Amino acid sequence: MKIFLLTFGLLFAILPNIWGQVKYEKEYRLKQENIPEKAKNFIEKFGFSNKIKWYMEEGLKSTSIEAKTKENSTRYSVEFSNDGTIEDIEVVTNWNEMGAVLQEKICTQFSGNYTQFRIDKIQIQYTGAADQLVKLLKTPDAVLPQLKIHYEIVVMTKTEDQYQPMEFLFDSAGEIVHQSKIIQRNLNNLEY
Amino acid sequence: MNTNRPIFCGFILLLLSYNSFAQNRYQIGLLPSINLNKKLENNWKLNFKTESRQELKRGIFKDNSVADYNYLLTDFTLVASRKILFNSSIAGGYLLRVEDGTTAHRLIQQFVVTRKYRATRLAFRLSTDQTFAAAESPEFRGRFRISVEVPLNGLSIDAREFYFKFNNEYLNAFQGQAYDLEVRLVPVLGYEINDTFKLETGLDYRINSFLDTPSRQRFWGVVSLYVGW
Repeated sequence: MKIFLLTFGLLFAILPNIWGQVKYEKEYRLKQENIPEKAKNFIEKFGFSNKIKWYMEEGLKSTSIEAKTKENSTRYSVEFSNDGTIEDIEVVTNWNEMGAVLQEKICTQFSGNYTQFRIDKIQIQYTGAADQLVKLLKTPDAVLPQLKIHYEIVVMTKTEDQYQPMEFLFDSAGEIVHQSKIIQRNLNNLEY
Repeated sequence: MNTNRPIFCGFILLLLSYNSFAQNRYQIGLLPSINLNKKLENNWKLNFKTESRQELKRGIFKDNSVADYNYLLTDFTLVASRKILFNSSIAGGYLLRVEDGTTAHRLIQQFVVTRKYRATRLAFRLSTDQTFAAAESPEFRGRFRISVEVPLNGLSIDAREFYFKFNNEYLNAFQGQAYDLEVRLVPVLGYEINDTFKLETGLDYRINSFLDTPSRQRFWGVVSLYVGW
């Protein structure tokens, strides 16, 4: 017993030195009463048949509200500002639906920068005027040239000897608009 | 329909019904642990774990029991792991068991694959170990564990959020001419204090010796602190 207590004591003594590393990004479910009426009214217009799940996303610099649902096997995520103004719509898609030209352009960039890569998730991001976004939700196949299209792609990458998940934002021509490293969560409690 | 679920439930029911027989032994106790994980260069990671077993009660189902605090043992484990693909790692390590003034030594090898779904995270662990102690024949084990982790709020586990984790492990042990199968079911409630610290508490249920003899069932109360940096 002594050896156990001694070890625990020593370990607790070094813990305060590690305590400082706090991450502030957070995502959590929103209760109905905390959803801005403006956002609720916007979503209710479409009569989605499946349940709408509302989330608050707290980033390092900003917060946003997201309504997520699935309709006809397609996952939608509608993002609002804190006051309920629509910001964009994201639709989950897969690699095969990206079109050969775009696929090649994106692949060329990944192949040039990484020794290995694996695409984990693709979302088409639509931004533009609210009435255009409404049209998109009502008729997903409609051609709406006024909407700006971006592709948000989550990729597992490997450079030399380093694995790093990344998030890329490509424009409709396949050019990188933005890229950021994804902070990997510690999975020690699943590995040991 | 997922055909694995009825098979799994059936197996558990079989175990539970089998163990309604007399002479099945049980043990109740605590299993506190601290798990330190340090990231190193080039995808290496070092894990140090110390875990203690403390008995509170033992006996035979529907028969005699003894309620008495009894410190049993402490394990010290050091494992080095290396990421080999996007979601998998291999590891090797050594465990020192200090029990009643004696020591046992265990070599550990493991392969882990993790997968993230929308909200759920799955981990598959395949491991082998070899235990050497002065008074016993060497023991060789092959283990398979599946773990599921689900956030209790939102789609991801963030700081200051609770989650649920469930482990199911099968351990095949060979010692001398004897073979034994142990099954573990470990449901725990976790709390992510921040990205560095996680605290888990729950039950670690273990059943073994049930193949051709009355079983031994152990119910450990788990309190685990994970520290990763």
